[in-house]
Amino acid sequence: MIMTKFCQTAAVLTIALFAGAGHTIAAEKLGASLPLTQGPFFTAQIYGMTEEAKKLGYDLVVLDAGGYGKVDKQVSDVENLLAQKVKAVLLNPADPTSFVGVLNDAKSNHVPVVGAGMPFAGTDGSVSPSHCEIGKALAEGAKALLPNGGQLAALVGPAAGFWANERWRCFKEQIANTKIQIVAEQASEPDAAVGLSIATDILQRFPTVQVLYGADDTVGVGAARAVQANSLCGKVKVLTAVLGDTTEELMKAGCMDYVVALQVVEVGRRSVDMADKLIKGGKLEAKDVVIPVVPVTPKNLSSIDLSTIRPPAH
Amino acid sequence: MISAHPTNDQVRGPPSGLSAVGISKRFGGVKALTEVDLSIRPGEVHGLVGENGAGKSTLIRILSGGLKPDEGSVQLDGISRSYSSPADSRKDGVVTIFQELAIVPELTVAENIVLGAEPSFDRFGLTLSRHRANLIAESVLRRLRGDAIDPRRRAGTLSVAERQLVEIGRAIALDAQFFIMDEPTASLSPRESNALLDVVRKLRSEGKAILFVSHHLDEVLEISDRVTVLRGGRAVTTLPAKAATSEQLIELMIGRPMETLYPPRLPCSGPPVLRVRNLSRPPSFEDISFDLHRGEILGFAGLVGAGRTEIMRAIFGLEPPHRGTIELDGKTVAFRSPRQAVRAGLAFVSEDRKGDGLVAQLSGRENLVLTAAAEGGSGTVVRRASIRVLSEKIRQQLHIRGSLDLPVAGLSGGNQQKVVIGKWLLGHPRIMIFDEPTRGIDVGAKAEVYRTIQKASQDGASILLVSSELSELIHVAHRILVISGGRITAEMSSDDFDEKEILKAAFAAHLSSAATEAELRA
Amino acid sequence: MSAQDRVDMAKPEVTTRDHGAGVGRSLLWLQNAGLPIALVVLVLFFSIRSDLFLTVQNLRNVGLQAAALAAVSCGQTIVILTSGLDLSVGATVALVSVVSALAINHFGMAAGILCGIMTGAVIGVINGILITWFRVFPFIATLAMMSVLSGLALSISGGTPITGLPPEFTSLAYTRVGGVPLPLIVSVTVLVLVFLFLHYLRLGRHMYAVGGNRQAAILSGLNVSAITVTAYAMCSLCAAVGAIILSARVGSGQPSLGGSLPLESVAAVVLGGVSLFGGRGSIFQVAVGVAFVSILSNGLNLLNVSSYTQMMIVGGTLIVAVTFDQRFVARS
Repeated sequence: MIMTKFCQTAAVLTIALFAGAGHTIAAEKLGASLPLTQGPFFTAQIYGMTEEAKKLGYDLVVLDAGGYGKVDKQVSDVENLLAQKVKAVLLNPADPTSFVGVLNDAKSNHVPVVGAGMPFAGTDGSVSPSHCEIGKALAEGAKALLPNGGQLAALVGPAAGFWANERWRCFKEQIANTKIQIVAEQASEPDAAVGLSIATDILQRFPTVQVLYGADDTVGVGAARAVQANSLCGKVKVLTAVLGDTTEELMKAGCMDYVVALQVVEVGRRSVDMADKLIKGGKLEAKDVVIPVVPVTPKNLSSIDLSTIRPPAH
Repeated sequence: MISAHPTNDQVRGPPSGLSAVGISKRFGGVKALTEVDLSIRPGEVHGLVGENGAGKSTLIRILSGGLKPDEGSVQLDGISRSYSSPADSRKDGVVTIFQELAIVPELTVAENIVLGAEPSFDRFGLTLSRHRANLIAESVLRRLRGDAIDPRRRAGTLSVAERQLVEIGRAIALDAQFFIMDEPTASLSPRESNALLDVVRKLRSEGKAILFVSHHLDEVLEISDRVTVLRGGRAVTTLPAKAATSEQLIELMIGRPMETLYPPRLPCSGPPVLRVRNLSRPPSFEDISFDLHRGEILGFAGLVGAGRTEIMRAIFGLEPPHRGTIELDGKTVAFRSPRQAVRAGLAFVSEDRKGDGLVAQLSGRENLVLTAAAEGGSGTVVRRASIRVLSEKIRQQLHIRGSLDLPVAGLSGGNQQKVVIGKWLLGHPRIMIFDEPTRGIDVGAKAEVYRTIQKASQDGASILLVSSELSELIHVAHRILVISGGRITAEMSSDDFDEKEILKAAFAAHLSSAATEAELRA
Repeated sequence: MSAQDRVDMAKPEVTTRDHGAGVGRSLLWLQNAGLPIALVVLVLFFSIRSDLFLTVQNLRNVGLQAAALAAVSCGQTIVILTSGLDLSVGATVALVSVVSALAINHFGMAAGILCGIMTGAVIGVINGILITWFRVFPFIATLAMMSVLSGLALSISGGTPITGLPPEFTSLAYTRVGGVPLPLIVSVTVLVLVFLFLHYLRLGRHMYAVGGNRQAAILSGLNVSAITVTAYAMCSLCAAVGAIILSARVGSGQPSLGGSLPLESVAAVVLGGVSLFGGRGSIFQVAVGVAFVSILSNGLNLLNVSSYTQMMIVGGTLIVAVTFDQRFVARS
C-alpha cells in the first residue's frame, strides 16, 4: 500500500516537473561562479551583479560550489557555465590557482572571464577590492586601536581561502615594525559560530589581549559576540573587514571598533559592466580595477554611504 | 586420564579417532564441563545428547578448536592437539557444521565448496578457475547424492537443507575425516531430515567419523552407533544406541526417573472471554471463528505455514485483519498495535525469543519489567527495589536458573523462555498467546513451561496455545482447533482428541483429490 | 516429547512462502533494473528541460566531472562488499593531492604521482589495521581518520594550496583521447581492473565471502584480517587515483579537496545496489550509480538549482536507495 502511494506521488511529481519543460530564454546569459552564496560579502556581490545585469538586459546565472572546500566543484561549475553558452563568466574563485585549465577552455571558447572580487592570472580583467589593501587597511585600524602597541589575536579565516591568506599576509607586513604583538592566530571556516567559540577560547587563554582581528565579518562577528558575552566591549577591541548588518549593529552596541568596509555592491556592479564591455569587444581602460575600501569607526558610521557597500535593508 | 566409567574405549586398546580426554572447562565460577571423555572413531556415528546447559555446545566448541579446555586435552589418534580456532582444527580434518550455516550467499555453490582452497589457473594461486571449481563441486555433490544442485547456482537461493549439503560438501572437498554436526535437522522438513540421515550414513560407510548432536532423541537413536549423555557438564554414560530407548535417554539426561512431563489436565468451565468471528486476512487465513473461555487452554494444531501464527498476530494487533470482528468481554475491539492489546490485557509469548521477546543485552531483571503493563516498570523512573522484589517472586514461581543481573543472552533457551513468560505474568494478563513456547528448549524446561501455562489458566487467564508438537497439545489443551490452509478444518475437545484425525485435518488443504475428500467426509 | 510428532507436524513439502517470494522477486528486479530505468528517466528529464544537456561539450563535462567520483566509488565498493565503510576517502584525496603536488614539484611528475599513490596505499593499510587489529568499527575508524588526514593535509600545506605545478600535469586533466577526456579513460580502466579483480581473482571472491558470511570465511581458513586490510588499501588506492585526477583538474595540491566524496561515493555505491550489509553487489551497477549521481549534479547545475538544494537532493536519493536495500534484506 505504501509502495503504491509512493509510486503515485512519484508519478505526479514527475509529470509536474516535465510539464514546465521547454521554455527558452531570449536574453543573453552571464554566468557567475562563487564558492558560497551566504554571508554579507557574497549576498552583497550577488545583489550588485543582479541589479546591473538587469539594467543591461542580461540574464544572470549564479552557481555556488557550496563552500571553500569544494574547489573541484567550482571548477565543474565554470565548465557547466561554459556548456550553457554564457557570454561571459564572472568568477570569484575559492582558490585562483585551480582554474588554469578551465580558463584555457574559456579562452578557446572565446568566453571572457572577469575576476569578480579577486584579480588573478588567466582572466580578461578583474574588479575587486585588493585583498592586500584590505590587509593594509586592517593594519591601519590596528595601529589606530593600539597607538602604543599591545597584544593582538587573530581569526584569520578559512585555511584554504586565498583572500584570507592575502589579507593576513599584508596585515602582518604592515605591522611588522610596530609594537603590536600577535599572540595567537587561528584559521577556521568563515562562520560566526565557529568564530565565537575560537574567540572565547582566545579570551580565556590570553586575558591581556587588547584587539581581536577577524578576517571578515563572519569570524569578526563571532569575535565581537565573544567580547560581548564576556562583558569586555570597549576593553577588548574588535577589528574586521566587510560591513554587514550585524557588524553595524555590533558597532552601534560598542562591541565592534574598526571595520574596513568593502564596497561589495560596487564590485558586483562594476564586474558586470566590465563583462558587458568585453562581450561587446570594447577596450578596457584598466585590466584590473581596484575598488577602494572604506574604513568605518563608530565615529564616522552615520556619515557613510552604504549603497555601494551592501544591499538596501528590506 | 582415562574415563572413570566403563566404556568400550578401554577395551579397544590404542585410541584412534578424535577424542576428548578428561576435559574440564569453567566460565567464571560456573563449571561447564567436568572431566569429560568422549571419542569419535572412524566409521562410526556418535550421538551426543543432553539438556540445554548440560555442556553440549561447550564440548563442541572445544573439540572444534573454538575454545581451549582448562584441563584435559583433545587428541587425534592418541596425540594431543591444541587448536586455536575451528579453521585450525579443519587442517586436521575436523569439520564442525554449526546450526548457523557458513554459506556465502552471493558466491556460487561451487565457489562455496572450494572456498579457501580454490583451484587456480596460475602458479601463484591468484586467479580462480571457475571451470575446475564446478568440476570439483559436481563430483563432491554427486558423492552426497546432491547432484540436483547446480554448482553454478548462487548459494543464496538454496534451501536450508541444500546449504547444509553444500557445507558438508566443502568438508568433503577438504578431505575431512571428522564431522561434528550441531543440531543438523533442527530446521529441516521430515523428507529433508531423512535425506540428511542418508548422507550421514554414506559418510559413515566411507569411514568418516561423525559426532551427531541433536535434541531429537529418536533420530539420534536411529542414526548413531553409540550415544553419550551429558548432564550437568559430566559425561554420564556412553552406551550403544541399539540397546537404548528414548525414555532411557531422557531419564539419563534429567538424572531422575522421568516425571510426568505433562501436568494432569484440570477442568475448566468459565464464561467466554474472547469471541472471534470471521477473522480474515487473505491469503494467510480466512473465516476464523472461535470462542475462548475463562481459564481455558485452546490449542491450535496445524502445519508450519498453515496460518496459525498469523491469526495470533492479527488478534494481538501486529498485523490487523482485513475482515472480521474480535470481541473481548462482549465489547468489539480492533487493536491497531500490540501496545493497545497489552493495555487490554493480552500477552504474546512468541516462538522467536531473541527477535520478539527479549532484549538480549539487558539483564533478566530489566527484561522482566520491560512491558508497560508491568508494575514497578511503569512510569518513567525505574524503581530498582521493587523490580528486585518482583523479579525474585517470578524467579521462584518459574524456577528460573541463572543470574537475573546479567544480560539474558547468557541464559539457556529454557530460562530465556521463562523470563519472557515471567515478563508477561507480571502484568496479570487475561489472555495469553503462546506461539511454539517450547521450541528448542530442553525436557526439564518444557515441563516447567507446561506447569506455568496451567498455573496461569488456573489463575483465570485464558490461553491460546500454538504448537507443532502434537503430544504437547493433546496433553495440555482443553480444546484443539486444527488449521489448514488458513481455515479451521476441525475442532475437538479433550474427550475425543485423536492424533490421526488431527493430522488428517492438518493436511486437509493439501489433499485435493475429490476421492480423498469424500473419504474424509465419510 | 515425541520426536515423531514433531516430524509429522513439521513443514511438509509445500511452498508456503510463495506470496513473500513474489514480492521479493519484484524487489530484486527493482534492485537490478530500477536504477538504469531511473537513469534513463533522469536523462530524458534533463534533455527536455535543458537543450544544453545533450550537447557534446556538456556530456564531456559530465564524464570529466564523474571521473574522480568513479575511481573513488570503485574503492568504496570493495570496502562495502566486505561489510565495511570508508568515510576517509575525501580526506585521503586531500592528503594525496597535497603530497603528490609537493612531490611533483620536487621530484618530477612521474615520481610525484607515484608518491601520491603510495601515500594512498599507506592510508588504506592504516585504516585496515585500525579495523582489524584494534577492532575499531569501520564507521568510527574512518571517521576519525578523516579528521586526522585532513588535519595532516592542512598542516603539510600550511593551509594554502600547493601551486607551481608543471603545465603538463594540469594538461592531463584536459587531454582528450579520441574526444574522450583522459581522466574518464583512467577511471574506466580502474573500473575494469576492479571488475577483473572481484570476479576472476581468488582474493576478489574472498571479499564477497568476508562480507557475505564472515563466519564462513573464518571457518574456511581465510585470513579475514589480511583480506580486510587489502580491501581498505585498495579503497585508498582508488581514492588516490581520484586525487590525482582532481589535482590535475584544479592544477594544484588542494588541502580541502574531496569534501563531498564520502557521501557521494557511498550514495553511488548504494544506488548501484551494493548492500551496506556486505557481500552483495556488482561493480557495473556501481558505474550506473556514479553516472546517476554525476548526471543528477550536472543537470541540476544546468537548471540553476542552488548547491544547497542539490545537497538535499543527493542526501534524499541516498535515503531512498538505502530504503530499498533494507527492504530487500528484510525480504531475503
